[in-house]
Amino acid sequence: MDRKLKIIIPSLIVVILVAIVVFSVGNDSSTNISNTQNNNPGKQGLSLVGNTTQGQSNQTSSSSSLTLEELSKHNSEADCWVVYQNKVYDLTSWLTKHPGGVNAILPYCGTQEFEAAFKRQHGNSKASLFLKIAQLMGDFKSKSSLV
Amino acid sequence: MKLSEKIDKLKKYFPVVLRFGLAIVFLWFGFSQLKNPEPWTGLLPGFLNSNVSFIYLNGIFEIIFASLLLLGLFTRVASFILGLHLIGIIFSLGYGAVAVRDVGLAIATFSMFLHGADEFCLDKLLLKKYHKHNSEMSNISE
Repeated sequence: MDRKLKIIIPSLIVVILVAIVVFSVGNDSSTNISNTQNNNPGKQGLSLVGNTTQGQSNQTSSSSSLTLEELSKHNSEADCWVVYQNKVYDLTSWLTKHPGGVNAILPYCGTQEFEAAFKRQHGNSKASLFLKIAQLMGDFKSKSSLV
Repeated sequence: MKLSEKIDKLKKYFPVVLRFGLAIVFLWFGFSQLKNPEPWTGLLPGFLNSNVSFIYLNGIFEIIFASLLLLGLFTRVASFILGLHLIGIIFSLGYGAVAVRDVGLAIATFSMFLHGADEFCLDKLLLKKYHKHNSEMSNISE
């Protein structure tokens, strides 16, 4: 019986510790998401739950063209815009929810390189998911289109 | 005593350390999926339609089997099933840094399957009890 307890008790402790870490550390990222939303009242919060209606409204809000100079201003964790299929999308609310972590996307915020990195990582399998979760900000005016 | 000899004495703990390490990984992912399932729907195959229920089920599955691994109960079965589960995730993710890391985890899980129960597993204790009971029964019948 002693030997069994010596196995069961440490195992239980490990399970409880992992649960505590997951449920307590995770609160920081959810706080970050709500702070981001509060700082940017004009931007809608993004959630995959009920994303179909948001996705539909997201796809119809393209009314402006954005240059690389404007895009490059949105290059932080609190404000992340990327280019995908010649359109500019806001990924800010999704950053902390990304299963691959914030740092997988952060280097591409405010740049045109996001699409290439996205296709390298996900191929075409996640394209429809991306279009559902990202908020469309406008068309991207690349240099070639200005000439 | 040389350092290598001292470390050699700790050899018997290798399977325990591996079991605990793998179990912690699966437990973390299992609890994360229960806590906040929505982001994980992106990793589901397309035919599951990003249904959150599958994430909850997957989370519970991972927690249960990770716990079995921790306790050393049905060690071979648990590690084999978790290894297959990881292979499914790798194919779902496609080639990339995360998938490469998961390949390493899958190999470690299958090595656990190959090794089987170690002396610190409940499996071994239960097996000893079973053998003891059997020998007692055979003694009585004689």
